[in-house]
Amino acid sequence: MVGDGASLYTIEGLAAGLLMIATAAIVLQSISVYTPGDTHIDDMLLEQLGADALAVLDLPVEPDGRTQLEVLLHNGDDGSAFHEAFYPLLRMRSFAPDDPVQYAASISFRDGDEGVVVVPYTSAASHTGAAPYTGRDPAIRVSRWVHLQAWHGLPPPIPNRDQMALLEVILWRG
Amino acid sequence: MKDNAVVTFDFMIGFTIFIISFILVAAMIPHTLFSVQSSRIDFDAVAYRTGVILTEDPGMPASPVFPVWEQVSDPGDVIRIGLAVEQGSANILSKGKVDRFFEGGFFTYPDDHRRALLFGDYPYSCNVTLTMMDDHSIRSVGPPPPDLYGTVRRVVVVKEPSYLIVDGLVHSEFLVVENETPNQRFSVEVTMDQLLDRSVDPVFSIDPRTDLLQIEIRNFGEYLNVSAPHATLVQIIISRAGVPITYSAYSLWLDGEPATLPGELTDSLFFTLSPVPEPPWRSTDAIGITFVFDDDPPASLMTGTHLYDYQNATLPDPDKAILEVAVW
Repeated sequence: MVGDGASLYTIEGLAAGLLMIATAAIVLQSISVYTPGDTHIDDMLLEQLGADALAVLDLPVEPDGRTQLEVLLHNGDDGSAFHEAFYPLLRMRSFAPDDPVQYAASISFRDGDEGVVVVPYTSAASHTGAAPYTGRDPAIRVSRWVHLQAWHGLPPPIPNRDQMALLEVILWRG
Repeated sequence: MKDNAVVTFDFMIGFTIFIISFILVAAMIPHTLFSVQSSRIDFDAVAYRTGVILTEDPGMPASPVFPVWEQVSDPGDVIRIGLAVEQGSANILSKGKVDRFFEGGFFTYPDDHRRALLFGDYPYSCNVTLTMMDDHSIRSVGPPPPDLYGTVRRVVVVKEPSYLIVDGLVHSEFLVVENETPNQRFSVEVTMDQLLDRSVDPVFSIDPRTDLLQIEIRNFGEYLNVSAPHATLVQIIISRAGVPITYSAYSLWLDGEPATLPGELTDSLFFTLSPVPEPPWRSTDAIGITFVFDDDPPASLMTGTHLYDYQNATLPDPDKAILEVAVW
């Protein structure tokens, strides 16, 4: 005679197995929702925008001439001309009114004794009254090498000599 | 015989069907979420790629006969739509390409854009907008984006074509000297090997094979014989290395009006030489453009040859602009 116990156990085993597989499938697929790095893409787009804006400012003004950025820094701009040229490039949008991008720029140069010295240059906060960079906002950094000629008008401690200086800009949305 | 097993098998089949449907439904839920999540990332990636093609690539025509795609008359012959002036000149867009891309009637939205700009099997839609920084004018292709879309913004400059100005009040060297018979000819010489100097920054370079050449004669009255009310332009000779050739891709404006030959002028002449497919000039040729005036009566006192080179020609300052690409 065939026992009746086995069939019951089989059903339980099958049901339990299917439940476990279903659970495992759901769990695995739920985890994968969170894997793509969404913020990474936003950062990349912001970095591209900043790099583009600096590249456009770094186009020569006349054939064999200096670039807008070089002229600006050579003339000892206190940041207002840079702000006027750079800030609209970051914020202008066509679909939406404005993109709330903020920036803070600094200039790095090499000093014989102290190595690399970083001095703050200008920021959106000092022109628009927006909140300054706190360090907590997720920010990205873009930079551009600028040729500074001797007798430039930038204030000390940037030494008065022919040199390459690094203009670094931190960008964030705030 | 007990009937337990029959019930058990019915139950087992029913329960299996239930569980399988349950798994199918349960598996679809995260998939739905996943597709929402990934499509935005995908849209951003496609928008980024489209932005790169538009701002960093000069595009590609199907046939090597055409140096640049904007000369192609059939949009199907454009393999890739890029707006950069040349290879390696990122962020510098060509005015001719921008006009061709945004003008209605050449590319058909969305077919040509999907084929030559967005690529991929998925039928993406796009909106490309160019906002000029100086006058805030907006040019756009494609419908406004829906709520969910991927976007990228690129900062670019739009390079305008060069022009050569001959001003009657400034350029007195083209006036015939006294007691000399005016020959009723004025020439402009375009030396290709000087213009194609690779050391010139792409933002300032002039290439007659792909760019418009514009010649403007202002204050022509200064070159006019006092006894004549107007001069008559009877012929424009276009030559390659001194040999006249047939070249009809030009436009002529006299005294501010579109004109054909022969035409009368008293004040100004505006001449545009357009590039053509299979340009007749090679990289070492000199292009000659000679304006011939009627010598009966000899009304024009203009003579000599002006050089179309980097010293004399003027390039308007390139306009900054924001190129915004939305993809969904």
